[in-house]
Amino acid sequence: MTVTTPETEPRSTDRPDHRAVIVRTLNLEKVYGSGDAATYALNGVDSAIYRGELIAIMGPSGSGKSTYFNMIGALDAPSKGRILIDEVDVAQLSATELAFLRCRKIGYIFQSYNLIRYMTALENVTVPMTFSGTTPEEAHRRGMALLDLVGLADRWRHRPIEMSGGQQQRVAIARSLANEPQILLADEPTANLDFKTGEEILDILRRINAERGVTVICSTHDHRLLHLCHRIMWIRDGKVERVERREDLRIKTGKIGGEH
Amino acid sequence: MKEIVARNQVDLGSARCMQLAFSGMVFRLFRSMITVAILGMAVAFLAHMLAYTVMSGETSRRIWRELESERRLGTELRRLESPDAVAILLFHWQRAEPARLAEHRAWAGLEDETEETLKAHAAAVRSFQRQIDGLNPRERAILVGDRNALALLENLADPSARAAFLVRLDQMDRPVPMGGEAELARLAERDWPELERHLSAIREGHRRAIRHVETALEGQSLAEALIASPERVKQRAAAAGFSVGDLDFERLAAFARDARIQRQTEETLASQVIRRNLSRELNVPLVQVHSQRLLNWLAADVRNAEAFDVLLEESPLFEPLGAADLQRVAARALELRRLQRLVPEEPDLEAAENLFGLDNSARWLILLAFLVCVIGVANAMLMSVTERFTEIATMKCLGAMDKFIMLMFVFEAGIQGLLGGVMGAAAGLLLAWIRGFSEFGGTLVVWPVMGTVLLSALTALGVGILLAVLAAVGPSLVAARLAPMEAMRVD
Ligand SMILES: Nc1ncnc2c1ncn2[C@@H]1O[C@H](COP(=O)(O)OP(=O)(O)OP(=O)(O)O)[C@@H](O)[C@H]1O
Ligand SMILES: [Mg+2]
Repeated sequence: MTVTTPETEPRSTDRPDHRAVIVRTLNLEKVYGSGDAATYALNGVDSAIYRGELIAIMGPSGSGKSTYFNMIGALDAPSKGRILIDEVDVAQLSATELAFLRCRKIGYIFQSYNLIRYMTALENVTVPMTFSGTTPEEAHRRGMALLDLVGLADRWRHRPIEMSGGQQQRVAIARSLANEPQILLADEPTANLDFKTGEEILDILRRINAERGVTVICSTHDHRLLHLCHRIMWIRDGKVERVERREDLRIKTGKIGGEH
Repeated sequence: MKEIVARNQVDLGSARCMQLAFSGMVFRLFRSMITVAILGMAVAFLAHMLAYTVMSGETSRRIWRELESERRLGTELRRLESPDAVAILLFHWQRAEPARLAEHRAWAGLEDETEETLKAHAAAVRSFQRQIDGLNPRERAILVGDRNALALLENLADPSARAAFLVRLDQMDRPVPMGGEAELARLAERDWPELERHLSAIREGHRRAIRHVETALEGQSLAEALIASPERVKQRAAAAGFSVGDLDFERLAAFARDARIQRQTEETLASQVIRRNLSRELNVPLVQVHSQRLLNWLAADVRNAEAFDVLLEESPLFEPLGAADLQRVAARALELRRLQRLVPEEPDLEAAENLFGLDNSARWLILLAFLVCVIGVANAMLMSVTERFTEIATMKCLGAMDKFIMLMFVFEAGIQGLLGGVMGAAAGLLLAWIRGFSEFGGTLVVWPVMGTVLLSALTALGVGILLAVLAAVGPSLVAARLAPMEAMRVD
């Protein structure tokens, strides 16, 4: 796999800049339903994610990881609390500004891929470029480069139904990078994949973080990610249980590193 | 320095929307085809209803006019031979028909003032008739017996009879006709007798005029005279005070001749010998030999000659006529009977003025067709939008703007509406044509209003497209307004 080097000098990402907070949530709450049926998917989440880091979000199923993703990705409105992306309050953005944010600044990798069924791999990857006003030629060139990055250059004509889950996941990754986002949100990117494909996907995420300086926020049950990330945020019952740095984790458990 | 600044998303051109809409449709070809088919059916229904109404309305009106002109020829011919009945005269006065009134004036020497009074009286009598005719059958039986309204009016001139009538009315809790006892008394005792006196004078004048024409014909029967020289009869009739104005005496002559032939054939059938001969020659049971049958035989090519030979053999009446003549008359008589069956009642002649020539009942049908169209189209579009909420949500996650999503669906709906609409309108027209053809027969169907027919098809097409677009706008607007994840959850 060859990696296209971005025009600008990659920022050093081994040492994420701990002072620059790119995503911040303040007392974030999300309630589904109302009255007796009300579910607190998020119940007062305060968090800060630093520019350039690779952070793993871990927690049991139903703990609110996907909900947290949707909130910080500006895909759904919180019931209470604030979300600041680069110190800008998302709630204050207009519809077109939100569209701009989703299109250029954040890349999404969904738990269920959410590829558009009637588009080829290349078309799926270039959709966000279309929305950002890129010319078709430029979009084609960059789309092919991204497919090459995820190792699917020869499959660019295939539609989602003609591809395996891992291949679809990789198309989704390529699509999330379409407009060179600064934040990459990956919701369980390895959940439905076999061991080897999962490994490949994680490697791609690590390289995107390391070589492009993209802030990667990745929720997972996959412990392999613990080797790669800078920090881990543990969520339970809609609350942040604790946030740990990888170094501390290794010191504490010692064992996890040698698990696989 | 901020890397993420709030900035506006770029606006995409509609060409790109169209392209996306199109590729989406091609991919979901089967679903798109179903949507198009539903749209097409709805439009076909509407186009069919509209076009059929236009066509059948115009055809019925044509047929009715033809029957009317045929009836009129009959009336005119009769009027040249016997005077109009009082009821008919009254009818003319109520309608104030200029041609008839001119004749009446000439025959009875009416003055202008009398004419006005008579018109007013005729109107009053008409309203009396209406009120009596408006009674339910039981009340009518008690109040009027088996007399008609005019006979009753005559009877009411007698004060004691009137008093009895009023008592019965009162018992039934019915209002007094004409608004009050005094008015009723005046109509029965003074106005109606006066009107009747004049009408009798007119009848007398009519009778004199008929005699005048008769003497001028020097012993020929009217039909013979007409056939010999329509123009001469016309002059005589005009001289006798008939308003012959726009009446075509050539047609009248042809009509008189046909009527005579028909009468002759029917009279001939009264002879048992002829019936027996026909039955033997044509090899049909005797009971089946009747005038309708004979008309059929005469009109048809196969038995025409045989039947004619029998008629000719037995009745010298047919000597001057040929078999072809008889065939023509029979065919015409059959045709008229068929037309009468097709349009037994007067169609709404004024409807021709309306767009699409819609009368009231047609309007309801069209409304119904329209509702079916609305429901069908709305349902089809609703389905095709709701099943794609995930796609909409995904696109919103990737930075699509509400406007773009709306446009995409509007384009899609527009294309589907156009496709379904064109096919539906064509199918609707075809069906309307087939239906009209089978109902009225090929030669008769009138498509004179081709413009209106096309207009109805275009209207149905336009309605289809518009409805498709409107029906798509609603749900896609909802989808576009939702936050992406909310839209994703709708599924
Ligand atoms: N649309 C919804 N309506 C009602 N409750 C919801 C909805 N979506 C999520 N929830 C609830 O919110 C809680 C958090 O859900 P969420 O999907 O964020 O969990 P998760 O951590 O992503 O789980 P998993 O690891 O299984 O993906 C759950 O208890 C879930 O039942
Ligand atoms: Mg989840």
